[in-house]
Amino acid sequence: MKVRFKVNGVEREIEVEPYELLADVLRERLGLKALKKGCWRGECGLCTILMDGEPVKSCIILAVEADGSEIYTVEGFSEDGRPSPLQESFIRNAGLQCGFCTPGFIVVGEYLARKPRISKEEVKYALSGTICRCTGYKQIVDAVLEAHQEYRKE
Amino acid sequence: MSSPYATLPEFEYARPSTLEEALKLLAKYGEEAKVLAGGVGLITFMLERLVSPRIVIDIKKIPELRRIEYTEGKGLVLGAAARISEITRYMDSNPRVREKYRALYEALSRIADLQIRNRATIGGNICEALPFMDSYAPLALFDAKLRIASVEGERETTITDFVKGPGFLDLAPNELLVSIELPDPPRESRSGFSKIVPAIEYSVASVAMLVANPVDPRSREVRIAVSAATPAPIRVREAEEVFRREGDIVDLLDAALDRMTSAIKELVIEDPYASAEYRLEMLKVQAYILFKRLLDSFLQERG
Repeated sequence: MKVRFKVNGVEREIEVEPYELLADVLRERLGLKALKKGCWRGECGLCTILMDGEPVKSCIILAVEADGSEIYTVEGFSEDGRPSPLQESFIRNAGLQCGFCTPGFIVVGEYLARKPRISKEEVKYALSGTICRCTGYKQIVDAVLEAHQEYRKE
Repeated sequence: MSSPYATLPEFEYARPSTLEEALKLLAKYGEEAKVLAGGVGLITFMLERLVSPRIVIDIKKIPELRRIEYTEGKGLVLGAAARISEITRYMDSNPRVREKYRALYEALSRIADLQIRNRATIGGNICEALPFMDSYAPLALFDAKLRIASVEGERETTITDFVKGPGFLDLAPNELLVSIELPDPPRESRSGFSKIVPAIEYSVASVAMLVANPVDPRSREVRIAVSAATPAPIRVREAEEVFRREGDIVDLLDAALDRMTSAIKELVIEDPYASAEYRLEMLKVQAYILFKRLLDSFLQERG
């Protein structure tokens, strides 16, 4: 089946089988290797992408379901190869250790940090669908809140 | 890509744009078809080879199935493929509707996590047919009517008649859950939802409660629905009846909870997640806390 979607701002058209998962198509066919599959069953959140502006887990979505949608992976947030303000904030706050979960957290983090208003409690609750086994989350929450302040200035 | 559970079994895919088309496909393929709404259940079940349909019918592009609409006097209508996050967002932008169906709002806004709520649908939550599905207790509380369709016609049922037990629905292979209709709750009512979730797993005891006109014995109404602790959702009418007796509503609570215990204790699940004794105790504790919370909200309003 033919699937047309916009990935990180670029129109793409690709032939897929109905049983191909969106995460696999983005990673293996479109080469977006920052996207990780951790649990393969919609629990860990590492494969999170923005689909039409909302964070979703791409390992439990069929590629054919993404037809006509607009997708952002972690690769889509940097500008001219420079890290986004949120990515800078993750570095400053040490919001990562091994880095495996980071692509998932950056995507959810961009979604949260760019909201007009968000509280610490809301950030913590919203991040509960993404799992990090190293940091203990405090640094990640701090990084998102600090980036939120910066995005608000823009 | 050769890891077990990494890829899906092969299947055909159909994306009907009308209900009629979807029903024709279901009539044609019957048990060989599976309906895809949000996919959070179906796709994980297929990854684990619990189901291997010949054809997957994606119902998300059928506008009728995406409806979210409140009409004064008629109530709230939810298309089966309405996403959980779309429903809570609709309620957030219509606070009066959110307060009318508060127990449903509280249950839906705490399903799984942010990413899952952006995909999961109300119909998918209902049709997954596991005891802990979060929509069950509130739908029983609000006397939800489920509209089921097939090429042969339509019928209406209730959540407690529809969900028979784990993995068991009153749904023929050619039938589709189309919409869920929640009639207007009693005027001036308050409702809430509570669940006990050990670690990050699923609820072992869920309670939804509604209180209306607490001070007037003739018009007051208390509704209690439970799920997760029992194989299927239950409206505990035996306990609700206690509140029709004379006397102060607060003094009737203990008797009502005793009636709840005797009405459902034979049905409570005992498994490695939680003992039947614990589940029953948690139902009572949560019912008690909800009751106090709802009564307090009436008092606060009176100032």
